[in-house]
Amino acid sequence: MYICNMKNSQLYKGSLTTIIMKLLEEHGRMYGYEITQKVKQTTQGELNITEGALYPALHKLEADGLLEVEVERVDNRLRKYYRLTENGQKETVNRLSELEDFIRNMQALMNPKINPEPQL
Amino acid sequence: MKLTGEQIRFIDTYLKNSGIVYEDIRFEMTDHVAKALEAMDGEFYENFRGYMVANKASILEADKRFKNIALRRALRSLADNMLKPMPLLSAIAVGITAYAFAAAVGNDRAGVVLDAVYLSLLFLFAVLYMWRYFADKFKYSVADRLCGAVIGGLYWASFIFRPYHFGGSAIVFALFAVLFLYTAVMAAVTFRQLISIYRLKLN
Repeated sequence: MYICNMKNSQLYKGSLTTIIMKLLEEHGRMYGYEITQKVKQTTQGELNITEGALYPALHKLEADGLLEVEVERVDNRLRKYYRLTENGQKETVNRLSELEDFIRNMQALMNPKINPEPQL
Repeated sequence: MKLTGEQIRFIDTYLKNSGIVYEDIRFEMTDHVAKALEAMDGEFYENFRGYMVANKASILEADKRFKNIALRRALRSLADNMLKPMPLLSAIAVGITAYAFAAAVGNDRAGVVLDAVYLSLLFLFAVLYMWRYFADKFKYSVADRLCGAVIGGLYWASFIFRPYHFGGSAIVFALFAVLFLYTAVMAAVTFRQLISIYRLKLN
């Protein structure tokens, strides 16, 4: 899965579905290209999600019942919009909580001076 | 600048010729490429060429991964249909009928009849699928993967599980009859449902 053409793509790989779900939680309904542009804008170009990474992730989330889709005709073509289902909204809360724990633990590991070892 | 209908069709045809044959996957890729090109200044065909040089591999990778996800969804749809109460009751009725038939005429003769019915259904299914494949311009990923998996799986299963494997037991014969016939019929039902859903959403 080629998520990013920048130097640290492996670090983002496991977070793609969480990123997608977070964006959909904030914006309600989005389509694929819109998601890639929002991520690029928010990270100021640092994170660039490719089609090969994004669309399989969206389809997997849809297959798992976490996203529902609407197809509309826009500007001479069909466009597929994604939205979180009720299960998707609950799962988003869980995944964001897990990600926050991960970030906190990584910060603790990377900055041992801020979190000194307990005296045994 | 908004793309024209002809330019959208150009993108769609290019993706189809590149191997993205499923309608439900291709329209989304077409929209993505079109949106990216609309954000660019300059001449359409130059921008398109540059975009494909940079992104075609990724688009084809997405298509490949779609097909795997589509197969899993197809098998899940089939399993959901097979586990519904009314079809299950029908399967039990088929099993009882097959058992009574095998007990009356013997497993060998019953096996020949089962082969004939089963292979006829499979042949009919394959013919209808091929007709759709060539006559109908729309191919949908989940429906297509279901057909491929079921036709291929049952075809090979029919070679592996032959009547002489039943060892003289009418119950075993009935179980095999239910397995093959029920799977084939429910696959056809699921296929029709999927096609209807796709046509409703996309056409």
